[in-house]
Amino acid sequence: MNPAATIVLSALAIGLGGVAWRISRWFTLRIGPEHRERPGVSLVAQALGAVGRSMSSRRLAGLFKSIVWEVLLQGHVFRQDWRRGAVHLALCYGMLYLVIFHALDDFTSTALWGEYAPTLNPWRFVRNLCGLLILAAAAIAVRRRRSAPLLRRTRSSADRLAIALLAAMVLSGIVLESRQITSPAVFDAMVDDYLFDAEPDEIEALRTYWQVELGGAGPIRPRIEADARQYGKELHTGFCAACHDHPRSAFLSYPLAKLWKPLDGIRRGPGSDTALWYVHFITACLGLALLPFTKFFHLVATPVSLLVRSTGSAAASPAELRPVRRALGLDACTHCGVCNQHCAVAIVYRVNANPAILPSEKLAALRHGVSALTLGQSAALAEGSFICTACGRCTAWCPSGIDLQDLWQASRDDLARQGLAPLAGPDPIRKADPPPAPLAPLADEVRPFTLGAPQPPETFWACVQCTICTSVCPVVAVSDNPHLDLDLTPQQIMNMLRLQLRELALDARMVWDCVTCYQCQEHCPQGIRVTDILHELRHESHRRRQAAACASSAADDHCAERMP
Amino acid sequence: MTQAHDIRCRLLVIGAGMAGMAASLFAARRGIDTVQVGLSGTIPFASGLLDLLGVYPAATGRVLSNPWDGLARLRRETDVHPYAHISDRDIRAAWDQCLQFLADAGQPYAREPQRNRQVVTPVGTVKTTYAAPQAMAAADEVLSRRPPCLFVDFAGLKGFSARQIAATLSAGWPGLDARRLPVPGMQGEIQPERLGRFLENRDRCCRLAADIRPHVQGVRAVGLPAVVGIHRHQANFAALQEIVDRPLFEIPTMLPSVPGLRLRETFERQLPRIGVRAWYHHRAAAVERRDKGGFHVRIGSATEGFRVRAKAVVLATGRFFGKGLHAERTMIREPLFDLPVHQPDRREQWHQKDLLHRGGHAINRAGLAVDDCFRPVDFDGRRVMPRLFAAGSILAHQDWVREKCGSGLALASAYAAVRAVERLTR
Amino acid sequence: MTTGRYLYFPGCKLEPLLPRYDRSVRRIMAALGVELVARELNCCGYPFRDQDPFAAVLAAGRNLALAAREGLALMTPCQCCFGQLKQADDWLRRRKDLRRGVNAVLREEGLVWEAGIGVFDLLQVLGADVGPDKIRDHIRRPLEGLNVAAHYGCHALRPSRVTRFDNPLAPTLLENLVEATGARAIDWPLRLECCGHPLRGKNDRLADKLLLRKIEDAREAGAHVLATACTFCQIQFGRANGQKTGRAGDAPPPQAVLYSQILERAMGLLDTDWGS
Repeated sequence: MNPAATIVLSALAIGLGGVAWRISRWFTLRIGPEHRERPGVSLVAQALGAVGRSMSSRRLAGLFKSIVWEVLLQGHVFRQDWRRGAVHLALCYGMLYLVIFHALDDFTSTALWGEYAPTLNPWRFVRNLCGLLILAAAAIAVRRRRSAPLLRRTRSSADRLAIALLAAMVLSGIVLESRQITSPAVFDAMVDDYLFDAEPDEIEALRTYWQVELGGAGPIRPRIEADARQYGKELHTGFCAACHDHPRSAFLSYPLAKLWKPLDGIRRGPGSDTALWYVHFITACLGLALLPFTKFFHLVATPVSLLVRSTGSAAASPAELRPVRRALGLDACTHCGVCNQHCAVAIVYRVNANPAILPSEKLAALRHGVSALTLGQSAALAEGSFICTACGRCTAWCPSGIDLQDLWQASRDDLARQGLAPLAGPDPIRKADPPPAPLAPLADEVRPFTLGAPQPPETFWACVQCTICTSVCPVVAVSDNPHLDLDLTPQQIMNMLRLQLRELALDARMVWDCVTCYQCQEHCPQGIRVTDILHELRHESHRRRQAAACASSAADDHCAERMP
Repeated sequence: MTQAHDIRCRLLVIGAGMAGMAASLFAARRGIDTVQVGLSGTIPFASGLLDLLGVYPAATGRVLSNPWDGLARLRRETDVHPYAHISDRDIRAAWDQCLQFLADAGQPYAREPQRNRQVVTPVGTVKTTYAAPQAMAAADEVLSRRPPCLFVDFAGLKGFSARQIAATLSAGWPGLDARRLPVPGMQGEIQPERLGRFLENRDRCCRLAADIRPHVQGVRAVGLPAVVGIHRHQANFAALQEIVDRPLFEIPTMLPSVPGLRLRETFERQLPRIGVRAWYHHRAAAVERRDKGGFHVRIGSATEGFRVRAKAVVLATGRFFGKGLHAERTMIREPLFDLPVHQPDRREQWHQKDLLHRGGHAINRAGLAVDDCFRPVDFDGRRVMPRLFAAGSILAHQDWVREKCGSGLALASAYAAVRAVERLTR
Repeated sequence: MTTGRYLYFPGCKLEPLLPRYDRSVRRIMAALGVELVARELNCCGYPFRDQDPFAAVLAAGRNLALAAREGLALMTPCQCCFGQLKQADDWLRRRKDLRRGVNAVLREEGLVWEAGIGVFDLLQVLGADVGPDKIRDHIRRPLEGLNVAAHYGCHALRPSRVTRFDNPLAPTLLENLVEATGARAIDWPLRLECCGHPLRGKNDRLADKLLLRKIEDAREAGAHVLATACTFCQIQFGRANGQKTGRAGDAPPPQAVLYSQILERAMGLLDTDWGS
């Protein structure tokens, strides 16, 4: 077997094996609370059954629409942003054309068009056009990522790898073609193949014609006779023209070809073109082999995801299949960042520098399930997951049709089961922590009030323990036994703070069972901001827990970058 | 409009204690366009009993069985006491109007026009008042006839002991019994307000009544803490009484009290309904301008809030607790208008040596002196502003605590002030 | 108060959880001639106020800055969002250090928070900008005989120093709006109390107790319908809709209905059920 075939077959094997492996993960990765009794195989059967049902049912029209409008035309992306739609469509169809009609031309183009040759128009032109489209689209994509601050900050190595692979495939192709246009070695090889019984002067005539008219076959030699050119033209017409148009239609490679000219005078014989062919060939095979392991796997997963979405939301699908859908969603994500741009809480990322605030990064963190994360990673993911307001905008905007809402709900459940839900009561393991210095008091206020930082004890000097805050508290009112249920009543908490017994106040359930209705604050005859103070106590517990999580995992996450 | 910066009105009532509420009520009844601001938190610190004049003269501690006799004597002996500026007829009219308003709002009061009545206190002593909530009315008759009675208290309710009440009253009064019952569905320490809101629900009252019922054998009346509901008090009390099948009477509790809350919330809810534009829990921060046209008063704080432009102001900001008066190192000031405050010449004269002196301290009688229209006057007796009026405990030359005349003074002075407002701002 | 045109702040939960609220608000506002301008805004910051107070103020501040850029006042039908936006505005107005920090972040996208951006609750716009008289003119089917218990959302009402919504102890805004539809606004003791939603998911037992206590109180007062004007209050009270509470023989508990839908029906714009 020749080396090229070995490379292709290996790449294909890796690619196909990888795709199979990635797909199998849809059925094995566990995200969400749904209890799975069925083995993976029967899950596959169930998934196929669901596919079958959607084929046969009334949903067929929806499915059809999804295939045409979303998968083929990507109309939903156009509707969001026509520029992004155009760029993606160019990338997608440029690449698709090159793979099908160029890489696999032996099986496709040749069979479709009898007169096909890669060096003929319109194929040569179209190939260059596709190359240009892909390069332009890639450049625009890179520019988009660089210009939007949120996208710039979330660029990942996977994004860079994908762009690099694309660029390498296309650029190596362009360089290869440019070399082939000018290379004397290629000319010689072709002559050997097609004009094997020709006389040397015939070959020279043809070469001269090619050199002068078609700009190929090495540097032009000084002696050019009109006869020879005419003869060369006849030979060209007879032997070459069926497969060779003028190369100027290769509008990317042809101008580039001129750069090779000086090289041709120095060296003849096999060499650069073969090497370049291998470069292009191996790059393409690399692309094929890496497809399942890079962002390009979305070529498989995203259409499936779009089709699945057309059958309804995750909540409407059978419980056993929801984890499958979530795993599929993880693969369908192209990390395009559209979700981040519409996320209602993305602004939080700007102050706490935790990427897991952003939907795309939350999803990336979930790639291997919640259980695969380190302590620090899961703490960061938990922060992002529970700050999410479930507004649904990411799901509505996701061009890959991922039911992100369902994914977040499921991962929140997983995090909660690992004990990472946000505090909802006194933190029993909180660490002593010197409180930050209180902010300066407000000029127009009698008693200082701080945001975030704890209240200085002077705030409570005014408290006369009149019990009004406790009396108007609806939580105290519905509690069977406030001292058992709530530990301390509001007025007692104010008293603890007044006595500088802060830890006792932080231990009270009342702090967490407060409904923040502001009755106490409104009614306090002394103007003490009782509710705001309870908010502050909660914040203090959150802050201390956060600090503890950061301390235990300083190396692996974003804590170091946090603003104070 | 809720966020407007300027509100115009004919009358601005500053203060939301008893006098402020009464002034707003009387003004609304007279069709005066009224805005009211102030902190209404002080009313629950009163017992909910309404006094007219319980003791006169204060120094003698003599309890009056007929307040009108006391008033007559007061007018003979002094012409600076606020009561000296008002006739019995006007005082009666003020009471009639206020008690009618409360009755219409589901908070009826009991009174005998010509005499004071008696109620039981949480430690079993007897207190004299003029009008008591209807639910306390039976106490008056019980105290005079002394039939066998049951006193009930509730586990966890602080500062209220049925046993103590029975023990205090038992001298010469046989057949007194005391029981402590748990409140079904409530444990731990219980504040009166919490229990009052808990018993807003009729079912709970009925359950409680069923628990009391087995203990009423052989008694003629049952006394229990004043906690039976706030807004639905009247209906729930009736239901309770029906099940217990004995005359019931409420006994005031520790403060903040439920009868006080009933008063406060009734005023707070009903006054806006009869047209008072009320901003409770908002303080008058500063008077920005005062001239013949009226007053510009900033509400909220100096840097934010809104402004009320009023033709007339009734100042009913109370004394020290209500922040109507402010005691500085050497003198007592009125912080809002900086009005002349009638007070002893020197600080040493503020207090008696004996803290519990029956006649009270000179500082208790400090405040604003007024003319017959209840307009503050300076030390020479000249009125300070033609359309500035004062009412309630901020007035000078009275000691409402010892004279047991707080509510009466509030009602009467508010009535007279508002009547003058109507006349002088027409 | 600017009139007639507002930047619409639906809040995160409106569309996913209560789409009919969104629909009814848009419909009544269109009919009453109030223009709602839609822009993509971010979370008000309320949900993470305890976790990260600075981020919460920043989130609200960004919305306010966006409103300033549009030259419009904000109008929100969610009283929790309203409260948070007002709180943040208040803090930003009063705290120089906070203002500096927030504006430093906002400047990255060319925004700036400045004092004086209007924030209004739906009820304020209906009560003051539109006014009960104009609403009365638009009533096609007066809801006579309907007893409505008006529920005030805590975060709109209090802290009143910040929200300036209505008299915190004796509000009349919602009652006036209810009566404008021809229905009767009943008095009920617990009308100013919390619905319990803030404890949902944190202490469900307490959240339920608070909810049932209010529903029972409204029922006892003879309410047919409990009117809400806040996304979260409606979600909370909506849980009790259709459930039997109280004893056999009692009147059925009132159904929780959004005020916007009550108005929508009275204006003849809603023919179907209130929804649940």
